Amino acid sequence: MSLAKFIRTDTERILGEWEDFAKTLGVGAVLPKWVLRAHAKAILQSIAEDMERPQLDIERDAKVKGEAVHGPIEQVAAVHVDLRIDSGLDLLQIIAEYGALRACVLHLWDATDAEGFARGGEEIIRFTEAIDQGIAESVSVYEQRETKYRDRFLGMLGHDLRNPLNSIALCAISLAEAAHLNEQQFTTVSRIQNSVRRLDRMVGDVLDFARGRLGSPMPINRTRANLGTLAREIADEVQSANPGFSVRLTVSDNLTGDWDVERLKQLFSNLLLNAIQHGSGKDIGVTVETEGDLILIVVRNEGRPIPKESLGIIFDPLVHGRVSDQNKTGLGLGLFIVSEIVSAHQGTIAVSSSAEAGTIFSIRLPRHQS
Amino acid sequence: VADLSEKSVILVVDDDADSRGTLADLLSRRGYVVESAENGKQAFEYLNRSKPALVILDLMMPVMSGWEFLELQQKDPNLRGLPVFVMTASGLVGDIKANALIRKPIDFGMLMSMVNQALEPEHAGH
Repeated sequence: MSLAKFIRTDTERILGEWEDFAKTLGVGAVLPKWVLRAHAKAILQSIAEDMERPQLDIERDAKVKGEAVHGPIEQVAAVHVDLRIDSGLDLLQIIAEYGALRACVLHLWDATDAEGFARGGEEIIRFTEAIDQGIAESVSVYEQRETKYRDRFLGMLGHDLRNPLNSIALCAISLAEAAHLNEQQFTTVSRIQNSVRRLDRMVGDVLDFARGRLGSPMPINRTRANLGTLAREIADEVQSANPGFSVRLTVSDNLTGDWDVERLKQLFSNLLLNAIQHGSGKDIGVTVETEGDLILIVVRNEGRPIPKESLGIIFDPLVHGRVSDQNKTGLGLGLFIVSEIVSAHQGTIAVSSSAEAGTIFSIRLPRHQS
Repeated sequence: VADLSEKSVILVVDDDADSRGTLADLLSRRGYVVESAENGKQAFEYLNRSKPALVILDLMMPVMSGWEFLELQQKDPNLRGLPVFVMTASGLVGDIKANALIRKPIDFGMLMSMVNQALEPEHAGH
C-alpha cells in the first residue's frame, strides 16, 4: 500500500495516536478533542493529496531552496497555526505537533505494511518534505503574528508611559504660572520639567531598544529635508545647553535628501551628547558633506582613545556594563540607537579612535530610499 | 472683561483625565472656552449639539479612538472642515488627516503658538 493511500484509509487511527501525544503538550492536555483534531485531519488529507500528484522539478527545487510555496498544505497549515496560537500553544509546541504527526504516520505505516514501508524511500522523502512545508508555513505565520503583537505592545507601552508624563509636564506649566512663586519654587518647577524631558527621552530610547532587540525594524517616515540645516539646529541646541564645550560645524552645499527628520535630529543629538559625555577635550567637530552619491557625516572629539577591544562593541546596546568608563551614565543606548537610525536609512557607520586623531564617527547615508 | 460669547471654543478629547483637565485649565487661563470629552464618541455627541473652533484630539482612546473619530469626521460634510490637532503618546500614528500632530509630552509653548495661529482671526488677544 502506498503511503498516501495508507494516510487516507487509516486517518482516524493516525489521528487517535497523534491525539494522545498532543494531549501531553502543555496546554494541549486541557484542550477538548475537537480542538485537538481540528485541522490535523485536513493537514493529513492535503499531504496525501500532494503526494498523489506528480511533483514538478521546479517545485522540488523550490522546496530544496526553502522558497515560499503557497499550495494546499500551506493553506491548511496557516489556518491550523492560527487556531493553535489562539489556544495558547507556543511555536515549539506547534512544531512538536508536526513531529508527532510524522512519527505517528511512519510508525503506523511500518506496523501495518512493513513491506510497503521498507521500499517506500521516495514516498517517505516526499512525506517529510510535506511536513516540513507545514512547519515552515507555521513558523512564518507565527512570526507575522508575533511581530504584530510586539508592535502593538510597544505602542501601548509608550502610550501608557507618556500619558502620565504629559500630565506631569502640563501640571508643571500650570504650577509655573501660579502667582507669587519664589525663586526656589521656580527652580523646583523647572527641575520637574527637566526631569520630564529626560524621562521622555529615556522612554523613547527604551522603546527603540526593545523594538531593535525584538527584531522589528525602526519605522522611517521620509520627507525632503536639508541635512546641513538639521545639523545646525541640533548643534546650536546642544551648544547652548553645554556652554563649556565648543561645537564646530562645517556643512557643504547640496545636502538635500529624503530622511526621517526627527530620527536624524536624534542621530546628531546622540552623537554630540556622546562626544560631550565621553571625550575629555572641549572641542567637538562636526562636518556634513557630499561624498559621491552619499552624504558623509563626521563627528570628532578629542580625548582618551577608546580601547580596540571596546570599538567592536561600541554600538551594542547596554554596553556600559561591559566597558569600564567612569564617565558613562545612563542606559548606554545612544550609540545603539544611532546605528539603528543609520541602518533604517540604509547607511553605514564606522568608528575609529586614536590619541592623535581623537575619536571619529563616520556615517554615510544615501539621499533616497533605494 | 471680554464677553465670553466672543471666545473661541476648543474641544479637548483625551481619555487621560489628568492631562485633559490640566490642558483645559491652561487653555481656559488663556481666554479660550474649553469643552472636554473622554473619547471620540463623546466628542461626536458634543459636535451634534455645537461646533467648536478647534478640536485637540488624542488618538489611543477606548470606546472610539482618535483614528475612528478622524475617519468619521472626514465622511461628514458638516465636520470635514473643522480644524483638528492630533496629540499622541504613541510613536506610530499611521497616515492621518489632521491639521497638526503634537507628540506627548506636549511642548505647550509650541501648542499655544499653533492654536493662536489657527484661531487668530476669531480670537481676541492672549
